[in-house]
Amino acid sequence: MNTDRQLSVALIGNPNTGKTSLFNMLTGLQQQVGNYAGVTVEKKTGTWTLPNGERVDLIDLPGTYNLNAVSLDERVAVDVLAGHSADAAPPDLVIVVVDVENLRRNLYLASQASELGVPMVIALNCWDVAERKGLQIDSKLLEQRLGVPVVPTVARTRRGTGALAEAVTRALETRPILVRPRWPEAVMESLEYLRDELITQRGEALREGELQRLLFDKRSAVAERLKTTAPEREPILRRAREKLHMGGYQPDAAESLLRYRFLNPLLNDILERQAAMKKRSTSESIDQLLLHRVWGLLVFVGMMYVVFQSVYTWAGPLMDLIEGGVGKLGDFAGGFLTATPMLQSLVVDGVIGGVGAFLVFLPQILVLFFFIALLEETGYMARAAFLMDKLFSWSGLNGKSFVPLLSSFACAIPGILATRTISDPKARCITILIAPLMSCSARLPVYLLMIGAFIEPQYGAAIAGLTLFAMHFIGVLLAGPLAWLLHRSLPPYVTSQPFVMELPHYRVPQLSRIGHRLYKCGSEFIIRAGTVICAMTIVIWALLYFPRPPELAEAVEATAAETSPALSPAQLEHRVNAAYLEQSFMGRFGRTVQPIFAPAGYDWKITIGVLASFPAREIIISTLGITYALGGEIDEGSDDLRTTLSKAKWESGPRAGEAVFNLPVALSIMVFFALCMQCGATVAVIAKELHWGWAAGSFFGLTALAWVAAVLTYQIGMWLA
Amino acid sequence: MQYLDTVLVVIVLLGALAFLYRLFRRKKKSGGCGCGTEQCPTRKP
Repeated sequence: MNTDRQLSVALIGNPNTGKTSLFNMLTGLQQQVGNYAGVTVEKKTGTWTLPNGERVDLIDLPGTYNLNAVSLDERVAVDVLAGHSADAAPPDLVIVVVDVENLRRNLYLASQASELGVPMVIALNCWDVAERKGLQIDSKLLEQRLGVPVVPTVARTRRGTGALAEAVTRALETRPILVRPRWPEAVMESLEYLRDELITQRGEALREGELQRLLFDKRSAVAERLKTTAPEREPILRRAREKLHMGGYQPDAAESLLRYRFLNPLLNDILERQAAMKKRSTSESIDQLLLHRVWGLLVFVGMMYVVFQSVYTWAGPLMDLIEGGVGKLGDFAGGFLTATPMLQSLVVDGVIGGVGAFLVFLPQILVLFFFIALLEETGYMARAAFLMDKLFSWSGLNGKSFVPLLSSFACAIPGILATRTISDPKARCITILIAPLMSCSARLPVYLLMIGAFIEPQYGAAIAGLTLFAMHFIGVLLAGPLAWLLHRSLPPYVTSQPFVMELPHYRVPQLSRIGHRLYKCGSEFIIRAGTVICAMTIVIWALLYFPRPPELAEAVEATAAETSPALSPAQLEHRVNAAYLEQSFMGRFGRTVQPIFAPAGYDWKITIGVLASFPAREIIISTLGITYALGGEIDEGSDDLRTTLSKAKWESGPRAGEAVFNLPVALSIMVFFALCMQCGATVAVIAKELHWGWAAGSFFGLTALAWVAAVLTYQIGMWLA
Repeated sequence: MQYLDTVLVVIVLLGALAFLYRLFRRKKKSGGCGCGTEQCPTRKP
C-alpha cells in the first residue's frame, strides 16, 4: 500500500443511488443532491475521517451504469477508477453504492469495476425503502458470496455510515476483491491475443479490466489512450472481436450475457425472495396518474400555476418590510452624509438605491425555490422531464437533454455542465445552445419588478402568477423549434439515443434539506447583491453621475427662471437632476443607442438598463433604481421602484408627457429578458464546453431572437391597446 | 470638505473597479479556486 500520500476512496454506482448524499454525510460537505439521475457530472473530493483517526480523500464520482464510458461524465468516473485521471491518484478502495431495489443491475457495474483490481466495499443504500416494501436481502449471505464487505446504509439519515466506516477501515488493510467471472475459452483466447499484441509486442501498460474494455466495447476510452496509433490498433481490436465472434459470442452482447450468467446464480435465491415480496409500489400507483399523457400534463400545468401564483401571495409582507428597511437606511445614510453631497449621492442613490431595489425580491425568490426544492425532493421533477420528453421528441432533442434543461431553470451554467451526460455530441451541442432559453433565477427579479408594477396592481395575483409562469414557459416553447432547426442544419454524428431515465421513488421531502437549499440560495443572492451587484452599481452610478459641470445647473436655472418662474425649489432641483442625468456618460450613450430599442418601446433609460445588464441580467434592476434616483424621480410618494416606474414619463420627443411604461412595454422587457443571452458567465461556459465560435453565435443569435420577440410583443400590444 | 468628498468617492470607485477586474480577469491556467471540481487544479481544502 502506498503510505507516502493520503489514501483515497472513491464512491461509484449507478445514477441516483445516493452517492452524493453518502458523500455529504461522510465528509460533512454540502454538494448538491437531487432526487433524479445526473446531478453529479464532475468528481468531487472531500476528507473523511475513519474510526481509527486516519483521514482519507473521499471522491464522489458521477453515476454510471457500466464502464463503457460513452458520455463525458461517465468518462470522468472510469478515468479515476482506472488511474488515468490527471489530477487524482488511483483510489485505494472503491465503495460501490448499490440501490437495494435494483441489486442485479447495480452489481453489474461492481463486477466490471472489480476487473480493474481495486479493493471494494458494497453499500446497500436505500435500505429503509427496501424495509418499508418488505424486501428481504440477507446482507451477510451476499457478503459471503461476493467476497467483499456488504453494508446496509440509508445515506439520508446516516444509518449504517458507522458500520460502513468500520468496513472500509478493515478493507483498506485486507483489500478484498469482488469475485470475478470465469471467462469461457473464446473470451480467454481473445484477451490473450490482445495481451500479446498490445502489452508484449507494443509495450502498452494495460490492466486486465482495460483489456476487457478493449475487447467488449465498440468505442472504448481505453483505445484512445493507447500509444499505438489508430491505424495500427484498429486491425488488432477487430481481429480480437472476430475471434470472439468465431467462438460463438456476439462481441457487443458477450459481456452482459456472461456477467449476468455469472451474477445470476449468486443472486438468484436472494432476488427470488425479493420478487415474492414485491408488490405494486405507491410510486407506481402515483405514476399512473402523473405520467398519464393527458392527466399528467394537466397536473403539471396546474402545479406550476399554483407555484408561480404563490410567489405573489406569500412574499408580500416580507417585501414590504425590506422596502421599508431600505428606505429608512437611505434616510439615515443621507442625513449622515450631508456634508459630502457627492458621496451622499453615491451611497443613497447608487448603493442603497441600486442594491436595495435588487434585495427587495429576495422573499419572492425564496418562495419559488422552496417549491422547486420541494418538487425535486419528492421526485416529481424527474416525472416532469419524462412528460416534457413526450412533448419534445419531434424536435430531435435527445431524451437525456431534459435533466440539463431542467437544471438550467435555476442557472444555465450547471445546466450546460450537466450536458456531459449526453453521449451524442450533436444532441449535446443543441442542448447547450438552447439551455440559455430556460428562464434562470437571475431573470426572476426582472419579471417580478415588471409584473409587480404593471400587472398585479391592475389584474390581481392570479394573472400575475400566470404571467410569471408564461415568462418561464416562453423559452421552453421556442426551444423546441430552435432545437428542430439546429437538428436539421447540423451534420449527424451518431444516431440519437432513446430517452432512458430511471424514475426515482417518491419520498417525503426532508425539511432540513429544503431549508439548506433555501439558505444556500438566499445567501448566494445576498452575497451577489453585496459583491457583484454592489460593485457594478457603483460603476453605473459614476457613469450616470459624471460629468457634472456647474454651468449646466446654472443654465437650467436661468432657463427655468425665464420660462417657468413659478417652479417650486423641488421642481427646479428635479429639472437640474434630469439635465445632469441626460448629459452624463451613460445618458449620452443611452440616447445614442436608444433608436435600436425604440421599436420595442424603450426610452434611453430602459436601453441603458438593458445594455448594462449584459454581464448579469439582474443588473437592470439596480441600474433603473439609480437612474430614477439620480433623476430625482423617487420621492416620498413613490419610495419603491415599482411605483416610480409606473409614474415615469417621456421627457422629450414625439411622445413627451406620455407614460414610458405601459403593459406592452413591460411585456416587451420581460420577453426580451426571457429570451436573450445576457450573462457573461454563460457565454464563457459555452465557449469552454464547445468553442468560442458557438458562444459568440449563441450570444448574437439569442440576442437577435430576443429583440425580434420584444419588438413583436410591443407592436402587437400597442395595436391591440 | 469638497476635497474630502472627491477623494472618498474616488476611493470607493477605484475599489469597485478593482473588485470587478479581479472577478472578471482571465484566470491563469495553473491557478485554481479549490472548489473540488475536475477542472480546478487546486485540491479542495
